[in-house]
Amino acid sequence: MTTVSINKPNLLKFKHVKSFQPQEKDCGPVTSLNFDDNGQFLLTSSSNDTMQLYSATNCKFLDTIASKKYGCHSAIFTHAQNECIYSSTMKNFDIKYLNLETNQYLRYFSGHGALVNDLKMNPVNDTFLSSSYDESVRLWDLKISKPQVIIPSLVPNCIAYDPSGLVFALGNPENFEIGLYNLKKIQEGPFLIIKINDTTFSQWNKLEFSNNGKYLLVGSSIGKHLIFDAFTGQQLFELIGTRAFPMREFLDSGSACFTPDGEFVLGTDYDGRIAIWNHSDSISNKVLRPQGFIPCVSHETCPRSIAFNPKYSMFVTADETVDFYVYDE
Amino acid sequence: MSNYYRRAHASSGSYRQPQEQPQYSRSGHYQYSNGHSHQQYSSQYNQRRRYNHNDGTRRRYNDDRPHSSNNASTRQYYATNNSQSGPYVNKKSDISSRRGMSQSRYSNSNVHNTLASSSGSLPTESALLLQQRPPSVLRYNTDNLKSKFHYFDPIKGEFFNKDKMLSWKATDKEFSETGYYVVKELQDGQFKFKIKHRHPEIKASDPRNENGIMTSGKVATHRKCRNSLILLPRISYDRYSLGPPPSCEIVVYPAQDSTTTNIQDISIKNYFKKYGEISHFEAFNDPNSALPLHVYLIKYASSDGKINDAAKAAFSAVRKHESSGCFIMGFKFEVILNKHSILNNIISKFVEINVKKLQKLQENLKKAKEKEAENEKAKELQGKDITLPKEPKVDTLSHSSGSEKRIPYDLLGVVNNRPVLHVSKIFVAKHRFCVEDFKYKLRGYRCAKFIDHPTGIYIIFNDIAHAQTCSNAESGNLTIMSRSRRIPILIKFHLILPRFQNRTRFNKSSSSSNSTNVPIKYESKEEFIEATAKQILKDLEKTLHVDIKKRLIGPTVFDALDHANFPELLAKRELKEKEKRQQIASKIAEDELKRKEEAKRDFDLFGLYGGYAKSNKRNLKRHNSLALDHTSLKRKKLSNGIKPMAHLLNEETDSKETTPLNDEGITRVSKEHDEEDENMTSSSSEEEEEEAPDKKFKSESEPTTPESDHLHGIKPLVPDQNGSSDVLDASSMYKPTATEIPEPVYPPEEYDLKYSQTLSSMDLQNAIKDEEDMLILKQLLSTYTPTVTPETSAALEYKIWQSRRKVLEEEKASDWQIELNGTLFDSELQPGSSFKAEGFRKIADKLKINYLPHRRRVHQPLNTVNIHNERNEYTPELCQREESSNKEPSDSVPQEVSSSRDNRASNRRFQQDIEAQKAAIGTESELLSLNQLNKRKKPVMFARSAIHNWGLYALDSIAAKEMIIEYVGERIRQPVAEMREKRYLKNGIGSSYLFRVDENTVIDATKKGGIARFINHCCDPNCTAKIIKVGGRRRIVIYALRDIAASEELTYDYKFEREKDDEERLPCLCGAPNCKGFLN
Repeated sequence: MTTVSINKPNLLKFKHVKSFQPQEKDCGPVTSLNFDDNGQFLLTSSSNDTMQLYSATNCKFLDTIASKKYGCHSAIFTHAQNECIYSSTMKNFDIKYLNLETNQYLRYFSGHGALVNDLKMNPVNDTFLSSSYDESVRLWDLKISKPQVIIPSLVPNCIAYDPSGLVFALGNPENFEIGLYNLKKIQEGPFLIIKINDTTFSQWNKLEFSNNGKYLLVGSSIGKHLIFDAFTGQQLFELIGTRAFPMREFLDSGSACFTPDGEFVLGTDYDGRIAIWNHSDSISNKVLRPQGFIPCVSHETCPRSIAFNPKYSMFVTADETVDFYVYDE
Repeated sequence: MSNYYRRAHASSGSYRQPQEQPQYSRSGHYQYSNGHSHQQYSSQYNQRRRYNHNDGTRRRYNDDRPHSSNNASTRQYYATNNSQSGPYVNKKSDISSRRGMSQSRYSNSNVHNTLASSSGSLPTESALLLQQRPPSVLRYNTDNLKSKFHYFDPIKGEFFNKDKMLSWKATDKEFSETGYYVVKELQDGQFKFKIKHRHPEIKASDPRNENGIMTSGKVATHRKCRNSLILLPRISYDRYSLGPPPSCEIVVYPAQDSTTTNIQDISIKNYFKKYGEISHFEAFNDPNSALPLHVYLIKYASSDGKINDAAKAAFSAVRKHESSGCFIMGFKFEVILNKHSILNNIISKFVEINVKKLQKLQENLKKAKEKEAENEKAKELQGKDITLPKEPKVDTLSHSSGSEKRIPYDLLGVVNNRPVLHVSKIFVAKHRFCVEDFKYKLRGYRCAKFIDHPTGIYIIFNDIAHAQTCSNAESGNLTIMSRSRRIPILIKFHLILPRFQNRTRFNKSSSSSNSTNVPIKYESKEEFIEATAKQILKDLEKTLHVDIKKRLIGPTVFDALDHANFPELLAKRELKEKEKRQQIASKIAEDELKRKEEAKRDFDLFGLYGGYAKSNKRNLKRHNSLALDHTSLKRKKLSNGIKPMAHLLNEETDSKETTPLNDEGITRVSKEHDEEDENMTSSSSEEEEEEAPDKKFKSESEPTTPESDHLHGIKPLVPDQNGSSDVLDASSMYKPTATEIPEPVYPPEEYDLKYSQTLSSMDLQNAIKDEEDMLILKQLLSTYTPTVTPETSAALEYKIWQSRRKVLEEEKASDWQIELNGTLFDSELQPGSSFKAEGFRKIADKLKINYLPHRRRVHQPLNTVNIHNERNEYTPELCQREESSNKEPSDSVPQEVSSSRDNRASNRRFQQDIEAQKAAIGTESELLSLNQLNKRKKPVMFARSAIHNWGLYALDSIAAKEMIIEYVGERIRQPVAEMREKRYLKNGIGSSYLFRVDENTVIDATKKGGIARFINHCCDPNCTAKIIKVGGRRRIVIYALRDIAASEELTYDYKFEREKDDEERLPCLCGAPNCKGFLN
């Protein structure tokens, strides 16, 4: 299998190849993007109560999964390729566990009293975290429909798992604090609290650990992202140089993401291009400007959320459309 | 407390309830007449922010700090959302143009102003960037969307349905505010789940540091850190794709390391056809020379109008040849997708190369010209009056390149002063090219004729210009696949231009020496008549000359030369003859002397007693002496005798001599030959005649005493009356010589101990040549006195005779064997007893070689088939058939051929009829499918063959060029054939029944096939296999090469490829005179 190493010239060779636009009648922005562990499929949840399944390797639309009654948000794959969990947006706040092939619900995870804004699958085992506007973050097991742990938090909140599956981060954009919790000792408080000193950086909506476990990305849609040391909590970089997005009616899943090696950050720009920051080769405590931009061919929409394929040379962005970017020689 | 959200708003105190804001009603219209309200929001927000800053109280993390300390501030999370909508920048024009959403725009310049004044405390770059957040756009304000929990009102900065959401503390009141966790605990021997309270005040430890996990690789995580990404397969182009459609064109161009080819465009097209339907094919020519660049543009089409199929075809074509390039007919090509201006680049690159080449060529030409000019100057300076015929430039070039080739004399007529391209025979033979190769390769040129000559291949052109262009274009460029090495070989031609440019062909053809028929054109009728009259007169003159010679001059001259007319001349002649004879005799004597001296020099004591002598030395001398006095005719005869008998058998002229092929004849020839050597005599034919019965007596003699044989041994002593030279010879032999040591009169005899390890009576007899020898022998044996009784003496005589006879017989047999086959008779073939008692047994091929070819020669053609009923039993039907068959051969052969042709034609008509019927019926019926070739089949049968196991025999006589039988078998592909060949060899099927039709197809008749497979190979075949197309299929058909008699074995040349490994070679047993000895 031919591979391409991740470096700046190669990242600049990514081309905007496809743009999937929803039908006019059921128009609605995409609220979440998620690849399965093998990077073969992409699951997006749309605000029009449907989820779309794409083949990431072929850049093809595969199927629409409707959840018309309860709505859908933050749909993510479990470690199985044909199963997903997503949160409801109507009627109740249950988390639903769905088999995509048979279209059967395997379990409802009920207990949240308000909108579940994010779900994160543990990278090691079959547990997942949910963050909700009911001032709690809950830990669930896929086999049990009742929450295993409830951690009170402020709202809005963001969650992220460490790639080792031992630590998770819980952040609150409003009090500028990110707490790192030990999953083994979840009954205790965070072992590290990262404080964001830049008070203007208030509306971040995404936390992400890099795959090498070294960095913690705090992403926002205001054209600025921060990178912290995942171990010491020290702020390392400030990524600027992209235009901020206007507010929109629905949540999004963050405007920046790490590449699978954790050496680069890709961020979306309101101008329709993708910015590339190389933080790993930079000196820390610096304000970094993008090293290059990947242009967006289509001017119909702009990218907002971004997700990088964990295995294949492609990434997607989404706002109202789902756009595929593929490495092209 | 029932509605947490409402409470939160209350606490912030700066937000109106939705009820209080009619303009935010669910009507869905978010049009604002003025920006007042927003200003209000913004200022409120800023106030709050400022308050927070001034206050200095930082919001605490709810979870780990005492909860009650700043309850009010921590619960303002909804209020904070508003800050997202706070700092607006007026970017109306920009956004409206980009997004085309001017309708539901929310913009306010006032906001910006207030913000600028208020947020002066943020001097950093990031803060400035933050201010640029574009105003939010309301796009989704339908009821349906608004009913969703995650519908966020960007203007208000809160969830639209926030009132429906509750805090978990409201729903799970019984738990503490610090949260809880579920643990599995052992209780009463059972695991039970227990809910426990959390203790956030305890600070946990970092598990990563504890475990030393710094890299995620140590844990079996699903989020592996990857440094490289897997490339995606080709992305198909569909309606969602962006950008220009993918290229469905490919550019094919010769690879750098491959030379220019003369490949046909169509073969390129055909090659790339397999990837998809080609809609456009274009070959590019050099704009300067209009010669093909071998750069091709191929555009694929898709059948259903989808661009993806075409692109896929192009992509797969490129991908296939990406790494190694593609080889079409042995030439390497590169294939790339036609993107941007790749095609133009490639073309210009090749044009440039060509231009460079041309420049080089021109330079060379210039140099050559200069050289020529210099040479001419030098010659002129020398003062020699040489006016070179003006030859074309290329000619001088080719001459200067050192290719001084001449057309062989026998081809001069055919070539007829035309330009010729020549390829040397050594080269052709080395790679085993044949004329057809050249014919095929040069089919694009106007070649008049291709000649395969022992000195090479000659390609004749009618026009010098054609020859030159061909030579220029192809010499050094043309490649032909070598049959021996299986790689393309560059061919260089030597252009041989006609020697005499000014001599017209008309002259040449009119000269009687050449037989070529170049039509001569006459201007007018009178001229023609004149020419004819001239010709007739010429002929008449000729005949007159002949007549005069024959009828007048001849008889008179003969009469004048009558012997009787010149008695004195006759006497003179006799005298002269005598002198001559004497001269010859003295010469021979001299030679003999010389020879003896030489013999003396390498005198060998053992040689005297019959030891081995160097026979080859003797032979040499003998030839020398023979050469002196033998007439050329006799020598020829002798040399014939020296030749192995096998060749004798093949020469028809000598067949008369050898036809009475009994053992006696052969031994006689050889014996006589030996004797001639010994005696240094020339034996005339009469002598032979006389000697023959004598010898016959000798070999089949009754028991003879050694004396009698001895007498015979010294037979040359008896003076021969007929050959005077013999007498002279003999006398010289017995002349006394002046030497101290007694010299052997006879040359040392080769003494063979092959048959008996001890001295036999035969050897003894041979050793004794004359009376002197006998005397010495007697002296030697005088010491031994055997007791001789009459019985023993009788028995002795018989025994001597017996042993002698045995030795003679063995000698005879071996001589025969060697002369016939070149090898000794294998002892295994000799039966211990009579052949009849032996029974059947398998004779190995190795042994068969010993005798089979000979037998073939003796009885030719070899008939193993006996058709018994031919003339033995005469039934009425047979008689009738006989009559009819007798009648038919009486008809001339051409008539028969024509009748068979008629037959064929009628067959074809019949076939067409059937085809028409088939079409009418509309179904493919096996019954109706007709094998045309079967109709023309000749009666054949198979039987055991002397060549190889089985053979095919003609039952009737077959005329030349008649079709005999089709070679039927399974039609398989080349790889399959190779596999099968191996399998057959493994299974012990040694015979090969695989017949190659073309490069890809092989017909295998091993398991399923017709009897044509039994036809054996022969180096001088009577049939030939031709590949003909019948109904679009290539089929192998065996045709008669010459007239074949009934019950003659059918053979054709297998034309196996030459095997280099000697062990792999198959011996050929065909026994043809020109047998190569091996099949491959």
